[in-house]
Amino acid sequence: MSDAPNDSEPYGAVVVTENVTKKWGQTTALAGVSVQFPKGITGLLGENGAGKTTLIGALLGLHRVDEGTIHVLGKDPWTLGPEVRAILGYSPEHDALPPDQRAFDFVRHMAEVHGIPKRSAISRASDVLFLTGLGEERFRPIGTMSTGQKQMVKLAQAIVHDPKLLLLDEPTNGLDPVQRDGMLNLILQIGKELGMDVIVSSHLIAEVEKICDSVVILDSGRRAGGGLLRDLTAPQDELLLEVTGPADSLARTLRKSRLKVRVADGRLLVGLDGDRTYDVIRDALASSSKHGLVRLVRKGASLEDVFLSAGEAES
Amino acid sequence: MSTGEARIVRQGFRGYNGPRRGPRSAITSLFFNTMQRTLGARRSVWAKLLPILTIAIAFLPAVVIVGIIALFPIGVEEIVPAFDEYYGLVGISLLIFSALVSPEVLCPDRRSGVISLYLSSPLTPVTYLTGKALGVFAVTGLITLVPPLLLLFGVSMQGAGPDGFGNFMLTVSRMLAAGIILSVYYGLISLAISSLTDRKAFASAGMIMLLLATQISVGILINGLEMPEWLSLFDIFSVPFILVQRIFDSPREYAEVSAWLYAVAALVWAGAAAGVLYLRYRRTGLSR
Repeated sequence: MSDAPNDSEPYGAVVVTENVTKKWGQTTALAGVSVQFPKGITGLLGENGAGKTTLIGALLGLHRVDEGTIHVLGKDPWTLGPEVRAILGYSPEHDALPPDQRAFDFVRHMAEVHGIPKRSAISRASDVLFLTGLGEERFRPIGTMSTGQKQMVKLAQAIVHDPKLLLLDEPTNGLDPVQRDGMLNLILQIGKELGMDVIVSSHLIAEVEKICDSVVILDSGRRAGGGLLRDLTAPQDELLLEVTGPADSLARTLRKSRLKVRVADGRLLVGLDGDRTYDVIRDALASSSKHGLVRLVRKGASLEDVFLSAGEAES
Repeated sequence: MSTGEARIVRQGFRGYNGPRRGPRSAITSLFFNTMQRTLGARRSVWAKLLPILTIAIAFLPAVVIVGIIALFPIGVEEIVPAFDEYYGLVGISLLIFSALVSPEVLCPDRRSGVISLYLSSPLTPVTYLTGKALGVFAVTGLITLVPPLLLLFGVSMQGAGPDGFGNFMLTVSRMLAAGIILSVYYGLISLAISSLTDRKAFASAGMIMLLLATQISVGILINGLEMPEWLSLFDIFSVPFILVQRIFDSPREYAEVSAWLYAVAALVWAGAAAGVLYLRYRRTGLSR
């Protein structure tokens, strides 16, 4: 059995990936992705084709990665797939419901498939359908339901067994603005009140910004950025500096130029001291052969700024 | 009379701290779900019609014969067919079930995308197929096991069954073997064909074409062109029925070919079907 690396514990990470690479034929879906998903609600942000669904498949133990390691709740999902999936919930992006089954029957069945005994499965199926606003509709065939109701059934089957970690792939796809708000509020409730850790894959920045505690940004199969949302967007006079090479040595160089620098999670947070801050950083990087600039963003930016600057850094 | 004490009877959706069963529970749940779906339970009247018709075809002769000999116990031997002959009647029911009902087991899961939810549960492709196959075997077993046993017990109660307890038990064990062989064989072949398409109609047509095409072709080769009888081993429809005749020690067709060869042929065809299933599902993931 594989255990999570010890260094994941201080961050309370529910998912840790190290240098994960996955190719589909000639196409590289994930290229050396090293990320940590902390507890709480985390957004997995990226454009279509960024590798989000492939990463979710790997977290579920359905895709064997070509390189690297993955730990989900401290376990390797590829070698311990059924054990890991028993405590995960998953709602896919695409339509994945049997049209001729009643919502209640299907959700109860999925609870049993996840190991919940029959009697508990029956009561929990009813309860979760009431939670998702389908209490009165629970005995209707799923095929007769609206898109919004189907999304709620998908969410219901994903949480009916009280998973420790919930993976939601584009949960607001096809919803109108009112339904979207309802879904986001429900995800927030699941994360905050029911205490499930949630990873929400989305390409919509506003959604992630509204409900997530932290974010991981993927771009063309690479980690393009991420962190706690409050760090990324809080109005602070700090620059977030991400570099290749040892962060500590660069921090020492910058401190010699009387800048306030702290290192967190391999990144540098540099106190903004007028325009000279940028000049000092530029000169330090230019004179160093060990460091390359990955990302430089002023903290306090919106998530959209962070996302765009992450994309620019990658390109 | 009320004691006046307040009691919370419903607390809404909450966390779960009870027992969690392992992957075996997933297979069991899938097994029962497959049986229910196959029999049309909790579905529309139309979904129930074909399974009921199929089962009625298998049961009706046994029920009628047992009813007649119970009411008119004279001349029982003339009415009751040999036990292995009854499988000819079962064959019609089995063909209808395999071609028209079995595709319901796999095709809709892929067509609707439910397969991705199953595979994100404790199920793996192999355990998913195991649960599905066991569900199919159970329902086909209802067709291949119960009616012949009903006939046997009916005629035995009228004193027209096998002589002595030993012969009775021998016939029971032959019926069990025949029923299991037929249900597993046809179950696997229908599942294998269903795994090749996500449309039930195509799976049904494929099943009928495969079974009838091999039977007609082999019949023409052996009976029309007088080619060797061992070619009957390629008659995918008839192989298990000929094997059943041999199990009942009454070879009616192709007596030149050994019973063991039919057993091997049945194993090879069923094994090939299992192989097709495995190959089709081993890489199934999240994408539709």
